[in-house]
Amino acid sequence: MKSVARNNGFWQDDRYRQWRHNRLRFYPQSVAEICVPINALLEVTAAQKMAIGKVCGRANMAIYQCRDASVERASIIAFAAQFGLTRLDHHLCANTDGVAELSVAHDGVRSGYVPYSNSSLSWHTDGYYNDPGHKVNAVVLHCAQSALSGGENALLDPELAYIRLRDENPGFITAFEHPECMTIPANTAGGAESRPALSGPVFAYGARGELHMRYSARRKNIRWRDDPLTTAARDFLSDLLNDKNGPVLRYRLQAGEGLISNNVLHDRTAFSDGQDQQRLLYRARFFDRIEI
Amino acid sequence: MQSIEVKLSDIIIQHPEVNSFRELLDKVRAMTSEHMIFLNLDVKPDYRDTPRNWEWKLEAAFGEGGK
Repeated sequence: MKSVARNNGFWQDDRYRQWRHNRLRFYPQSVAEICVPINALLEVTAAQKMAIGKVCGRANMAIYQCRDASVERASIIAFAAQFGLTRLDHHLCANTDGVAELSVAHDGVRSGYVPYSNSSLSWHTDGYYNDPGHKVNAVVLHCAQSALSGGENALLDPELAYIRLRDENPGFITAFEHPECMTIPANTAGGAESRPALSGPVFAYGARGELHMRYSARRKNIRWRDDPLTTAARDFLSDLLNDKNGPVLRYRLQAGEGLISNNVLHDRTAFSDGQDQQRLLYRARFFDRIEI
Repeated sequence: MQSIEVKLSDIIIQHPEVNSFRELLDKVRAMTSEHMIFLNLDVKPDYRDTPRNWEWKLEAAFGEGGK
């Protein structure tokens, strides 16, 4: 999977139409199409790496399935590095190595955040509250232990969302490109301001023209631009994400499986842990995009 | 010698910058590998300039490549 040179007006001219055609033509129709068996995180053959790259080319994500389910945190970082992911986002709840443990937290700083509970998580891209200089472009989510029940993820490639929005109304794209489209209020948890309020677009473009999406369906702690087109675009996107017969893929990661993606849209259903089976996912966020 | 199969659909999706059949021919010509390559024409490339004899043209370009 090579990085895509989409600069010089790619998104506005004829090349977009051809790209759109091929993206829709080859987009996976089932989650099975994005699953790639590998030996282990530290034992990925050239063919397996290529297979992951091909799947990512079609959907900006792949689910890898390790035959050897044992995992160490360092091996997640080493695995990601094979795909060009080296610049880690060391955010508030991550450990010193940059890998966060997504499990139910009963105390400490993590316990104040929904991802570290067993509640459902609404649709979002990771790091939507990061500033423009720290965009999360890729994520590895590795399952060390699944929950007793629940904890399924729904997944959608932001490029598919872009295409559907633009097909419906090109004005939706303009609305989502507005620099004040979505505002995240300051983080004042604990009394001190650990992050200032941040406004930005939903859709932005990288140095090589690659699409970046910043989105959260949360109703609290998000301030949307008060504009009819923005509201209509949000409604359309919400319908797309919740369409049971739409392009959304659903999967429940099992121990030894993981999702590598260019920060795709995702949600999570609520889950229940058992006495001896407590959900644990490792998550590493990167400023790089997947490169093979 | 080990052989590998390359699907045309994979070439198309890996190269979104390709915008015409002519450019696709260039990509096919440029394919090189230390292994023996088999090109699988699994889909018809539907660019605006795709000719009727697209399979023949691709096979010819593939044959010219790697030299």
